[in-house]
Amino acid sequence: MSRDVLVVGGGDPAAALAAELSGDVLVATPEPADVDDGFVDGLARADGTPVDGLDLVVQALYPEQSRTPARMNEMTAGDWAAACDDPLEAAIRLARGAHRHLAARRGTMVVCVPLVGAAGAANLVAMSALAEGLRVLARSLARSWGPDRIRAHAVTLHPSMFLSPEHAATAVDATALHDPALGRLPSAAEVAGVIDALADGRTTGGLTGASLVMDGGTWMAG
Amino acid sequence: MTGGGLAGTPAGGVLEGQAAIVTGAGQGVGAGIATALAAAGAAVVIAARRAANGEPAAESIRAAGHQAVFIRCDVTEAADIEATVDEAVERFGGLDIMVHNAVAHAGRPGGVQLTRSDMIRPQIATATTASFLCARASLAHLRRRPGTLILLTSPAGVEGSANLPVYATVKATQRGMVKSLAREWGPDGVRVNAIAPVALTPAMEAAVAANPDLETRLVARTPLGRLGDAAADIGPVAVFLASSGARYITGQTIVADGGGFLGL
Repeated sequence: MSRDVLVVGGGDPAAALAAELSGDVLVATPEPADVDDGFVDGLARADGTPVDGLDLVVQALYPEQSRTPARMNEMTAGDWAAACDDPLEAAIRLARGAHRHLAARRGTMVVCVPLVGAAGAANLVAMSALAEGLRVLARSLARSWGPDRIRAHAVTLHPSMFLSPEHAATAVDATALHDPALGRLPSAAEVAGVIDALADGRTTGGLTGASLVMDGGTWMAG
Repeated sequence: MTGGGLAGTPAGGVLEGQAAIVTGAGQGVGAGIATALAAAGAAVVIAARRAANGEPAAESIRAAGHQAVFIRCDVTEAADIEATVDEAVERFGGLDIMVHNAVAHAGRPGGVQLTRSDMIRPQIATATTASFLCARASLAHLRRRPGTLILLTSPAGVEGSANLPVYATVKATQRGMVKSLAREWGPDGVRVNAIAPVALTPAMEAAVAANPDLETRLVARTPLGRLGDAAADIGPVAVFLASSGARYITGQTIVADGGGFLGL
């Protein structure tokens, strides 16, 4: 049976991962405000058939406002909501709507988060807050969805997978990140391979609530 | 609390001459922190939504011989926070310590799909948005001293929660904010830290009343064998973080839970 996969988010890393993940991959690129509790129920595949059961949901919804560096004290309340609060609520509502579809397949939810949440980065306070919130959301989902045989994980990725090259360079400086120990950052295919493995109950069925850092050995704390 | 011989400690309490705002200080952890800050010498603003809680909390501190004033403040309203900061600065001549502690009701325990839909955004607004609003409103004043920002998070904001997933999520956003603000504000000398407490508060007492096994289970996983006291166990952590003794500490989350969470 082919694996049914839903990737939520526009731009990278969602687009790059969607191209590399195994299975029948449906990509949704909503605005955060469009994600309500019935969002997943309302999705349809390319042939028009509704989504009914999911083996893997990958959450990587980061609006442009989250990815744009700004001094926190220069942000308006609207800026903050667009960069942090709205995508945070969208992720929570996506999880609510995905629950029954994942439970039907004993599936896996993977939340992709930028390293700036764990390491901190000046001028990316909203993205950092969002990232840490999502990382712990994955842990909470793992705890509460375990009895439903749904597993949940967070995969932490280098800022360059979320930001433009110019902004990523600034973020790396602002985060005081080391150079990757492997001498390079992982490719999207390598990250997708890990996510595929996390969704494969035969190999990782005993793993849930993990917070994997896939950054080539850039950040090794905790 | 007195200086205890720390280098550079003022003659009175370690926070003598400083001004603090504590949100959600009408009861619980916020009241405990406000009491401890005042006892350490700070003039404290009890920022709370309800005068029925805030006024008695301020009066209790004044009755002990310390400085405190109640200002009505709904932390989900930017104008309320800005007005509270302005009034604190006007009354006390500046602002050294901003503590955001207020929290929204998390609702009935259960998985995220069972959380009442209308209880999601208020939790984001009270923890995440209000942390942004408190930080933004206080920065100009904290830079002048330089002062410190303290956010109250939770052990659940580190390890997640099966029964309060939205609460755990919003508490985690505060830890992310602390780390990045510490980097952003460090060059100005403004320190930013978080406290993750477990304490026997009115909210906890209500939860225990509804679920009598809860306290037993919490105590059983706590090496120190008891739940914290808001004023005696959590308040001094805030005093320390606000004091010169912590002047080289920023971007950290101090877990004050009797040893229950040991994952850092």
